[in-house]
Amino acid sequence: MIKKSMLCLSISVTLVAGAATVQADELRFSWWGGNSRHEATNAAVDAYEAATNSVVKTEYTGWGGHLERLTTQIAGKTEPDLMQTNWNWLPIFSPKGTGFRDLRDFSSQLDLSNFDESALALGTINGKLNSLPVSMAARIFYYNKDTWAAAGLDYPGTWDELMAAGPVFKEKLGDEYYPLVLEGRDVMAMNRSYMVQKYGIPMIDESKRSFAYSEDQMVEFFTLYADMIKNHVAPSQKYISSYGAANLYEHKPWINGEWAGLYMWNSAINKYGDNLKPPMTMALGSYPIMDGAESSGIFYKPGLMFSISKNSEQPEEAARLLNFLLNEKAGIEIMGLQRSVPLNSYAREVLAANGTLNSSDLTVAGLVQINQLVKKIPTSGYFENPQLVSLFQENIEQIDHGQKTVEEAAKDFYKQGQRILRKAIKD
Amino acid sequence: MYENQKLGLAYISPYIIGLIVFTAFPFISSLIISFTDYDLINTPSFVGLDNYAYMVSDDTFYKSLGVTFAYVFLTIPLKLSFALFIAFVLNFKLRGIKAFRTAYYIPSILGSSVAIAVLWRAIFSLDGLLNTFIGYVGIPPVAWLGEPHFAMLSVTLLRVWQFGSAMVIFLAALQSVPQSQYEAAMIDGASKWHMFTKITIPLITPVIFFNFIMQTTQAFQEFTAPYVITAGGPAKSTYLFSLYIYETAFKYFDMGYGSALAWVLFVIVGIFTGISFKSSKYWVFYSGDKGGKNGG
Repeated sequence: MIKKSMLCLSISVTLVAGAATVQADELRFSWWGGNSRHEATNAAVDAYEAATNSVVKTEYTGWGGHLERLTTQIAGKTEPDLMQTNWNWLPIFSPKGTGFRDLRDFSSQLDLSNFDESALALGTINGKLNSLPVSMAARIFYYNKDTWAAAGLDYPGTWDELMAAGPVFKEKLGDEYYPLVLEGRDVMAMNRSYMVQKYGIPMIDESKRSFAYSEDQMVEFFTLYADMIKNHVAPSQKYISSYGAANLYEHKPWINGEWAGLYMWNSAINKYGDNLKPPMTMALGSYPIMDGAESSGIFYKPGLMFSISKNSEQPEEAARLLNFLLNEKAGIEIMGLQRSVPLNSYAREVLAANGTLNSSDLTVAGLVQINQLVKKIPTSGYFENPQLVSLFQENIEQIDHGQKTVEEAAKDFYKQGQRILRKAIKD
Repeated sequence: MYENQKLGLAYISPYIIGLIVFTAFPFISSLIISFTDYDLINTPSFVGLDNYAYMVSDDTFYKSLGVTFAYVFLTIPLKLSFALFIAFVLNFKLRGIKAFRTAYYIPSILGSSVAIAVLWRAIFSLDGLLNTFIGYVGIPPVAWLGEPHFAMLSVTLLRVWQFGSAMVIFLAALQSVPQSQYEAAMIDGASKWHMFTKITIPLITPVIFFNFIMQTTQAFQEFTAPYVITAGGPAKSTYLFSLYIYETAFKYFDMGYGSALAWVLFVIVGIFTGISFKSSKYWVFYSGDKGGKNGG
């Protein structure tokens, strides 16, 4: 009797274990993005599967929560074989260059000859190519063409014109119409650009592990936000939060064109444009530059990257899939511009030949503008430190709710931000 | 005899293994991690009591703790009294009462799912269902999720709405109150209200106590609703403690401090439960028990 029971037990254990390992040879591939990227990437993966008779398991989410999920996977050594990664994650996951596989090890599967060496350098740590940049990106201004036409305004060419647009929107279109919509991280990047133009300094001084601003300059940084709200240039965080916690492009005022502009990554703009109620469309604005500014202060970085897990049992397969997506005609055509304009020169040729890469696409048009802007002062990789961004968000919300004055918020952010930077930037 | 024990152990081994792997191990390791500086990727370094010392000067810690207590003290009385009231009504012998009992229990089955929280966000959003309804009677839209007090109320109402599991337990308790006691009271001319407060309530105090403990420990750990509906906002007004633990650990990658926060929450819930148990001898009456302040 006992023997029989033990037998049953061991059989069932074997069955469960077997079910879990039956798919051991499938390759796992993860990314974040919006719907259009999901569709294109899934289609490209389908084509790869058909061409190579292999199985790829795709794991894709929106931006929210993706980093948390990936971190947990990496800590548990269960991350996918091939992962879409972000430039500012490199110091977290691979401070010494050993967190991911060196992509130069797979020269027979992955062709790197069409990638610009200086861009590859941005994914290289200690001589190891940890992440392959897919595209370069920056934050620039995009506007809802139809709403701005209704307001009867041209897109602002200077910071003053941007500030002046707020009252016009309010008067002509109504209280719920704004020239721009910004979340905390957008406000930070935009104000940083303004400060670079005005003072020629970045926000963070990595060598000193602290802010590069004086306390007065930090007050000015926060005053910029308060002025934008006061002038009806952008809805307050308080107003945005009354729609609940979701992506901006899922909120009704965005879809309906009430929030009529963005300071956004050129690589991300299509997911915002896609969600507008037809026939509304987005258009590229111009980038305001102050007289005498030596640099635009634009936040410019590798848009997206791909990395191969150091725990992968089939890294060659992952490299082969990566090569298909970035280097092979079939993959390039299906992926199109869903990860922005490819850095890969061959991919650009393919996309130009089939008409995908044309200057009417907002991402492409944005890249043309970005290439013309002066980028003398690079943005620190710690600028988007999640704790720093949360702290900024909290402080501007407190201004909105009348819990803090602009000066108090600036002071608190300065003090607590210094602590965060000292902890984050390891010597 | 010994063979039998082995077989018994084999049968319960899935549970034992689950307990060790998924409960005991994380429980112990989080305590150890709370004394370290650990970012998940690099090797942890031992920092002694630093994480606990930092808490003393951490504004967000106090803010989040305050929000959590407000949430618990708002949710629990509302939920329990509502559950008891509905259970009381559903205890009457009416036609179709079983259908009502089922209907009121449905929200509880949905549990702490994300889908329900998304639904809640759609109801309380500025352009949501609730504002549409009050718009019909001419009331201007209210920023339910944009104003700190309203936001807290919106998040609270989600859990109050899921009163079903507490209600079912109350219902069972109400049905076990002996009819003879009511009959005796009626003969003495007691009103319905008197019967409810003097007979029903005292006789079901053990169940009230049980529901109170279960719901309170759950409320202290609430996560899904504020995470999905408000993301802790506006201005951290719904930033419950579990959200702070989560963000510290998985957004800021400070596992050490996150674990220390989790242990502080554990101790707080422990103390709270301890006090509840101590107090119970003054207000909980078990049948056949001589205890209670009126007992003797």
